[in-house]
Amino acid sequence: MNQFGVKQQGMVFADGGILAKQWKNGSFEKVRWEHTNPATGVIWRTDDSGTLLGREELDPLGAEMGKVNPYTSGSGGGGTGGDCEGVHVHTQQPAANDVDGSCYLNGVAAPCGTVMNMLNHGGATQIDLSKTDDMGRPQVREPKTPDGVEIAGIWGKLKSLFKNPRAKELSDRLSADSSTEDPYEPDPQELKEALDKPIIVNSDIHVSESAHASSDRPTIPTDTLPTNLRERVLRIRDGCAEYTNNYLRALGSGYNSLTFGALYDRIKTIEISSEPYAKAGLNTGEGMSYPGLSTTNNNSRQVYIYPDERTANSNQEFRWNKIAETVFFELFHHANSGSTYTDQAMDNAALNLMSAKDKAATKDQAHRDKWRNGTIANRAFNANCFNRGK
Amino acid sequence: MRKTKLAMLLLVCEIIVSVITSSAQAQPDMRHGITLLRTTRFDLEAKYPNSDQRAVGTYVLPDGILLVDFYEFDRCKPSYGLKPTWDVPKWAVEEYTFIPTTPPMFNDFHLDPIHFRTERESPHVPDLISYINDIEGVDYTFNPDGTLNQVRYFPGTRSGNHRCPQGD
Repeated sequence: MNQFGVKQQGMVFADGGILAKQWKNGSFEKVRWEHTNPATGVIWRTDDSGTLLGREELDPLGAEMGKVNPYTSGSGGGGTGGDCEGVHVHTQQPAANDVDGSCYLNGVAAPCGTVMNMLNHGGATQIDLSKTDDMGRPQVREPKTPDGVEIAGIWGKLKSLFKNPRAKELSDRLSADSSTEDPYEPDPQELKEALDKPIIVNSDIHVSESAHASSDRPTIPTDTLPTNLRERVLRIRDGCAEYTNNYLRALGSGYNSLTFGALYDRIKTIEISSEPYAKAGLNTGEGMSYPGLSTTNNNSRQVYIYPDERTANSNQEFRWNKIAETVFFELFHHANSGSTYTDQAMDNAALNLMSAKDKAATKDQAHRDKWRNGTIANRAFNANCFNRGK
Repeated sequence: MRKTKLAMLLLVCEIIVSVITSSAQAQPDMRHGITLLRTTRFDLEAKYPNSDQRAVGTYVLPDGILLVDFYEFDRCKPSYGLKPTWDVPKWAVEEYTFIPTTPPMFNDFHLDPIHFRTERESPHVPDLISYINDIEGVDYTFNPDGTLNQVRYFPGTRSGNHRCPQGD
């Protein structure tokens, strides 16, 4: 305990000697194993991954003891398996999550990974192998709150622990303060590789919803351009090539449906950004009045898309198609050889393609409903290109 | 002495008048001889027989693009279940826009800010700024670099006497 009563170190005893030490430095927790050769008294220290940290004196016989946990045999088990064998004085090496009678909690067989996880994360204060139950099994004391109150129902508590104790442990290490004084900082690459391994969910431990929520990576809202935006735009062109051609003619543009790719390539920047909207005072109210904007700056052309993370998160493909439609529409503004077509010019071109009856009706509705400039063209494209057959 | 002063005064006046006159003459004329609510589609096609007519109302001329909105009604006779607006013949030019190939600069127009309101009329192209005279029915839109993007002529408030009695 430190001066504030917070646990700093835990120990595992075997046969009256220290088998393992667990300590904490800030948010950094580690387990160090001490392997004592009973014949020679030489002490080897390894970390919980089995890496040799050092030894206190050489074997007087010169025999190499190796750096593996002396209480294990074989090399299987992987991960935290090697950690567990030290708890159990016998030589079986179980997998971390196997309940094979190698590890015990309060006299109950428990997955070794869980036992070690408790040790690593402060859940178990002490595992004392010198005290056994009637069957000779080692005892683990119940974890206590900072107030010293024992937490009842250890298994219930365990259920809300982590999906993969090893992953959590490694993750904690990665995020630990780099200024830690621990001289045995593991290789970050090694930790990364370990973290990249598939997570094995212990079938013995039911992970609660809250544990899922806390261990799953939070969904970060993102709205991105599709990598094949040009292809998507040209696909829209293909679907309404005739209207595209007629509309470009009605605008008086030199472009046509066949040169639409070149029109796309005129645009220097296509970007999702709300900045130009804020600058122009657009889309400030509810809803998104203008999904796309066109600008020209120093002879370069830009198309901006208003961000819509919510749609992107709920249906990415739908969002990308919408972005392609927006870009497709904005390209007509850029079909003017010298500058950009205004929204009024766009509306005029759309009206010039209508029958006298439709034109009169559209103008009448636009006047009555006070449509903003560009609405006639937008609706014309919705009808002739985007919503065809829907 | 008196004659010299008088001659000097006359010279100064002449210079002032010539400057004003030359400024007025320098203002680009983009009207293409079209009189709103009077010139018809027939007139236009007679005037520009060699124009590249891309659609009804779209004329590609050597100096730019002309986008014309023709009147769909026959004077004040209701059609398509809609009320007409103007007491003018069918196919009369109701409004038109000219997009110049070689755009003049803002300064070429000598616009008097008292007679024009400014507005950003193209929300999809927010960098463009328009100078609108509602009385005369003229709307100049300029690019960010100061060149003219387009000029639009529409029935100004002076055109009120052409309205149908029941029209809004």
